[in-house]
Amino acid sequence: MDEKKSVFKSDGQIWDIEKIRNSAQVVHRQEQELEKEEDCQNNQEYANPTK
Amino acid sequence: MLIPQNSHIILDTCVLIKASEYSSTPYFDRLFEGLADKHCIPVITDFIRFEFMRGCKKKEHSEVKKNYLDSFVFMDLPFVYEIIKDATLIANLYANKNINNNQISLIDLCNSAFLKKHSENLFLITLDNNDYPVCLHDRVDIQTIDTQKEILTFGVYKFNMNKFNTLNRYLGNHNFIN
Repeated sequence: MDEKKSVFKSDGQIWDIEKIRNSAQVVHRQEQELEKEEDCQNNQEYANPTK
Repeated sequence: MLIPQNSHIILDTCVLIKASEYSSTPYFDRLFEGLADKHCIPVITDFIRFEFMRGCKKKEHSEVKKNYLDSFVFMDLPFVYEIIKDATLIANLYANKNINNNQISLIDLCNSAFLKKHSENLFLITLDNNDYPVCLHDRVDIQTIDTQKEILTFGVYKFNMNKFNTLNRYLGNHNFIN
């Protein structure tokens, strides 16, 4: 690994904690929505097993 | 943080997942600030990317996750054949030490193989502390976060070549696979 090359990203910063948190929040919201969708689907399948 | 300046550090999948889970709180800020203060360079492996992305059902889901990884992962360490070869050898050494191999996944073993390959300046941070036994790794730091809901204990690991060579030599274990 070339450390000199890898010290900074093209925008000059390695750790932008605010940016990390913002993009992580989008992931978390997406995961929660997917979980809800799956729960709904499971409940429907449970209520109507023949469908 | 007890980690040398400018080290590369693998962020294990569990760290990526928990950091997103607690992203609406400041719990992870101190941990990331500690790594930033040491100018650590966050990396993942192809396997960690796979593990993190595998649940995506649609393109937009994978774009959101990719964007998250891009926000702080500096580079992906690429798979090479040597990694799977070393992962097998490491698994054999664990088996010999009666460490339960079933709980340590192929991806964990590959992470150890990456740590071995770059043993000079590559570290790994994980919540799955049992997956990196100290018979081959050094636990160089422990960081704890109390989220009120749970206590998260992060271990920072480095591969110890002396331990590996001693164990490997002791077992006469040079050629399990070729």
